[in-house]
Amino acid sequence: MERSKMQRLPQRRLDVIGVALVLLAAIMAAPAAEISCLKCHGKEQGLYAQSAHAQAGLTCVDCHGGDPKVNDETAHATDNFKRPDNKRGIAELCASCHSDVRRMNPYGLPTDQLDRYKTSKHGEQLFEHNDQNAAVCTDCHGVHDILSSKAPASRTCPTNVPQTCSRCHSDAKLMAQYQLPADVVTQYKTSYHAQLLFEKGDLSAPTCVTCHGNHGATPPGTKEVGQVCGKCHIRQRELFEKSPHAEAATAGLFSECVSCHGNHGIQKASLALFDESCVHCHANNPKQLGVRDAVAGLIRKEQSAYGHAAATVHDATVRGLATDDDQLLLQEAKTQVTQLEALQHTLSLQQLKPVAAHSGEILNQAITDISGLERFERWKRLALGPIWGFLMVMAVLFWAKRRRLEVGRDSVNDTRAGRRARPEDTTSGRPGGPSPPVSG
Amino acid sequence: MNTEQKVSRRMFLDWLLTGGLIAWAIAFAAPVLSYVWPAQRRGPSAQTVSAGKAADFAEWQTKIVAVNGYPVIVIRTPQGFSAFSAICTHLGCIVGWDAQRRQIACPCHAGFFDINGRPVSGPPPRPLAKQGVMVVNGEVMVKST
Repeated sequence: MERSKMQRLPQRRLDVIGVALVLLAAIMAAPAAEISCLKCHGKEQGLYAQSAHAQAGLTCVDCHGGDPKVNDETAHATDNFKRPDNKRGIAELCASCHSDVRRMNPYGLPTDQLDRYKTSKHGEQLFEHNDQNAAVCTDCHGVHDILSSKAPASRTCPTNVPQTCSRCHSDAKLMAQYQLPADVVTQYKTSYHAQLLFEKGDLSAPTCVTCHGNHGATPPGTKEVGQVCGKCHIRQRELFEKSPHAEAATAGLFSECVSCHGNHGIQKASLALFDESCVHCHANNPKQLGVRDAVAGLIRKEQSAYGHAAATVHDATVRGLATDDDQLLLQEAKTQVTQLEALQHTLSLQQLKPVAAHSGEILNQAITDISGLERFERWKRLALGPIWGFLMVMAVLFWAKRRRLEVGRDSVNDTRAGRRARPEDTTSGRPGGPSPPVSG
Repeated sequence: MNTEQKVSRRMFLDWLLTGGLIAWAIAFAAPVLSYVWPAQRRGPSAQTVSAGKAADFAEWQTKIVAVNGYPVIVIRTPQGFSAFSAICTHLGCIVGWDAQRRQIACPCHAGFFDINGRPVSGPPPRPLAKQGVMVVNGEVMVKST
């Protein structure tokens, strides 16, 4: 028994050492690819470590090929080694994975970026004119430090997109070569869209790529960038299509939304636009300016009526009146007034007038209700007079009652005192004599 | 005769005093009684509003009711009742029901919300606020949140 134990011990030690050696070899072998590249490319490794590709478990050789077992420059001397020396090569290298449906499916990424890129201005410049200034994948996404667009530090995160585009589109020298303005991003930063994005933190607010597209050109079915506004401003687009301006836009005489609202520096729409924009085309046409004045006047009147009613209801609420129903009426009127602002895109008074009339009716009802509440409040104040009168009468009655009781008590006391002073009164025949009447 | 007159005046004053005291006592007692009266006899609280009989709602039928001065849209789906604030999260218009699409629609800027109140298209940035809804004794009750 003892002998067999002694024989088994060295065997166990060998097993443990063997397993440890195998594990060590596995650990040494696994990072060989990294270590071999890092010997010369340590800087890239630092950038790559946090990237989306590193998080997906990809290594240098997955994009660049080469022989990771070799620790010198001969590692590049393989058939599969890739280091694109031009932008077209970069696009094709990225597409070697990003156009592969099987590879992209697990990440839920589209695989048509290269095809779409080729339809864009950037892609046309590169693939048709071999223009090495044209932006390619790495110009927007980065090279080794590519992050998911959901990451706040990513160049393609909505809040960083204007800055990414401005790297080229704010370069006056570069833009001059293509007769393009270099102030578009500066203009965008003053716009209402930028205000929503940067100040209100609304990541759904439009950035450069929302209107211009990212990999592809302008979205399908659009002749010009101005038409893409309808992607978000659906109702306005529908109504615009019914306006006399739609024909002019189809004839190419008029740039849909841009003609009135502008583009990169777009501001929040207000009635001031009627004064500023219409005159650009209709300065010498009093009839058309008359339509403008009628439309703007109608909306202005209803907006003003709404403002007045809202202030009246607010004041009544602050004074403690029950305005629940009127708040609801205000909400209904607000819906009508907001609809008017969209409906004006038709420039049709016929369509605007019924909505304005409905809004007016609702606001009148709210004002009438508040007047009723105020009348009731006044009546309640007036009713204070009778209530105070009642209290006064009650006080007087109490006083009279108290006085009567006091006089009665005094009379009784006087009588008792008199009886004590005249013990034998002969006039009445009874002790104490007749009682004096109790006066009230 | 003189004594009778004096007695009548006294009685009159006593009646007035008694009547006034009774009125005073009622004015004081009424709020106290209403406070201690069982709550269930007074019906639902102001925070809960009836949207009508559940039996009157057909499947996919909707109704807008006012809860505390704000519109709420009540929808009957095959799964039951649900209710959302009927104020669009874009610019505050009152939303309606698009029976064809079976979606909540905003008439101002064509924003659409699904039957869970989530925006599906158009400019609304946030879902519609969900409201409590329950069926009590066959009546659809909507609670403000």
